[in-house]
Amino acid sequence: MTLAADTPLAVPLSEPAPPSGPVRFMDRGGLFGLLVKNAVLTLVTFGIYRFWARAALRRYWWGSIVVAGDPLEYTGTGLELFIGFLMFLGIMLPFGLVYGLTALLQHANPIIGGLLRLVEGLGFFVLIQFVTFRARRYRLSRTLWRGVRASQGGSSWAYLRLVIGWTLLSAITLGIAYPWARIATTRYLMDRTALGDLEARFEGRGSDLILAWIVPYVIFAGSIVLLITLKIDTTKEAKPSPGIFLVGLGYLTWLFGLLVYFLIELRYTIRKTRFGEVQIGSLLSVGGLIARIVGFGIAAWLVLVVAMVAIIGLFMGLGGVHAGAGASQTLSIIASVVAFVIAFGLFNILRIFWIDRAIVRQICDTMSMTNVDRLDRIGQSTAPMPSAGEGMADAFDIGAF
Amino acid sequence: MRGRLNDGRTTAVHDVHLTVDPDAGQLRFEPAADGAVRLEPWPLADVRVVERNGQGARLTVGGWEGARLQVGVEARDFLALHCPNLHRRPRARWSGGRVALWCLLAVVGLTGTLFVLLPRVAHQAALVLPASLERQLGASSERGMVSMLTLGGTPIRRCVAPTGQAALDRLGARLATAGGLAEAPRIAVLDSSIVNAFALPGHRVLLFSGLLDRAEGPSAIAGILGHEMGHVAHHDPTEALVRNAGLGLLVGVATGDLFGGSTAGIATLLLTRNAYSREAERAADGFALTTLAAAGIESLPLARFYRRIGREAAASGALVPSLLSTHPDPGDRQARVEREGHDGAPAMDDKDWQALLRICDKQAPDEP
Repeated sequence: MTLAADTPLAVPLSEPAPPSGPVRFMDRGGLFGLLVKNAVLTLVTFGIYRFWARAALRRYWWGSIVVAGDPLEYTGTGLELFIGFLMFLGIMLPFGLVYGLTALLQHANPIIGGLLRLVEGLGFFVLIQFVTFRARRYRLSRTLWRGVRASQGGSSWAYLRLVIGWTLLSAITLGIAYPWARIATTRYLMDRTALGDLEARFEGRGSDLILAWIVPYVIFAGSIVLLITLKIDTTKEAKPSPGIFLVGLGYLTWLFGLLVYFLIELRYTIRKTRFGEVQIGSLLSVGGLIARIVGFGIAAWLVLVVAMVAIIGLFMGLGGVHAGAGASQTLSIIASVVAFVIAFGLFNILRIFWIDRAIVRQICDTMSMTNVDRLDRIGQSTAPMPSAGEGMADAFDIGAF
Repeated sequence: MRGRLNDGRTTAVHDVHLTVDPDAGQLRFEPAADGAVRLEPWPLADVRVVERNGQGARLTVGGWEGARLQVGVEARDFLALHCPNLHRRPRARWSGGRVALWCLLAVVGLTGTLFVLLPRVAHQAALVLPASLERQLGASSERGMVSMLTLGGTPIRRCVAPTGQAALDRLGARLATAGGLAEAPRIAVLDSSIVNAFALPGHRVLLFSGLLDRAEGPSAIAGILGHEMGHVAHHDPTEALVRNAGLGLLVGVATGDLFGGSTAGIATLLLTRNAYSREAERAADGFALTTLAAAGIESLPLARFYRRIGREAAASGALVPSLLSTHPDPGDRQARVEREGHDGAPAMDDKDWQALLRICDKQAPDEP
């Protein structure tokens, strides 16, 4: 290599201290401002900005995850997501019309309407699986680490067949086979995932998760049995009886158990994944995350109750005045819609800021890797790149990130 | 000047010295460590910033997938002097033409569905829906409207004073016969200061008591009832309901809120604005005029009522929901009633009218 004949132009490098673990969450900062900007722009553009908002948010998440000293990079753009959405509109518009018409029909003829609803529900289920698969492939193809691209192979039809088969099996076994179903779909996806030319392998087994699954399962089955034996008709009961509280408690415990299960499953999935010779491990503390999520849930619920009381009080005051011909009612309806939109947006912002970020940070910082130096010898991916974004996934709100 | 280079072929990190060769137009890399591989230079004109970050900037080079160079702040600022396209966006994977094509297709599809497909489907659906279904739709939309108006705080109640309701039903039956309707509609008065009336699917008409207070006589009420019965006779409410359900869903798809509350909210909001087409409104006015004539009822009070409400709506702005706010050209309609209207008798005798005015003396929760 020849140098420039003139004086070499030398500038010192200002290098940051590399993080200690193989994977670290190093917050790039500015998340709160980004979330507020995204929410405001999405609102004033009637939702059109949401594609660019999502891409900007992903650039934040990806860029904050540092693996062996180098951050991930998200190379997707809002434009790609927007085009994926436009393509999806073509499929969705006629389907939406049919869906709306059967919704009307259901009022009149519950049997035929209900049957049509069932068929449409199945159609949606199939569509969602399809979309989940393609969204994951798109996101991986837009993930870069040290200039090398991730990818996902496989076919969405094969994935669909797999999911339908396992869902049927789960249904036949009344849900007991669910962890095996989850493991099977995770294995299909993971075994076809690669970073550059380094292929991932997932070595999980459903039996390892059955204990975590069976506890919420028993609680759920128990509350169903209780519901039947106590003959509680939830629609007609005017006075709440102790039985109702018991069943309600059962449901809450079940939800809690499900949350615990999914966090345990997440940790298990990380622990059983390897990229080539690089085995990933996780020391994720499920209890710590649970405390945070439940705490946030309770706080949000309390705030919601207080806000509702305040809003209702405000409208009682407004409603009593009756200024003009119904003007106050129109105003209060508009005001309540606006209040709802703002409250919902604020809730989402705070959830991402406090909960999502904490979860991602915990997952990253508790991750370990063997044979880290293998990561220096990964070759570029040769997998084809999908050209448009996950339009359908957007409509079903799949993939928080 | 140093940087961390990934050449886009492997994940190997090359610690490199950077040299700028302005004559050759190249950014060259010399490995900082001994015995390292040769690294191809980058054309200065193709160097772009991927992202500014805390350490400085991450750069790439055009046409070289995955090539990345992390440099410090000083190197970034220095390179800015030599790389003319540093801050130009990397070329998008989608060309402007293809984007425009997809946007055009989406717009065509959306407008086609909104303005061609949806109205046709709604029109046909309204004609073929069985009467029992229409009745149930009417009951559910009345329930929806009442709960929507109750959102304002005070629950809406139905006015049920028996003599007033009997007078109203007599007028309704008379108009239905005159207009050739198969059955007399179920007319309910709701206690609200809103000056408006609605036709609902399944032969239902809702009057708000505000309308009675402002009508200044029974013949204007008869005219408004005739107008709403025109909508009933033409299946307009059912058609609007089907159209609005489809519209709500389309809005849900477009705003990404498919199963969210906004869809249902917008559908309900649209329901309460009985936004029929201009043609439907004209046809309903025509129905009212012929019906009034056939029943021998004077139609000039309706014209006077339209004029009064039109003036008030203009004075108070569009926010006040009134009979005219969703109806086009109030002046036109008033002129037409004046032009085509007939003289005749008042719609009710004074006793019945006084009873109707006092219909809200007795109230009950609305049970559609």
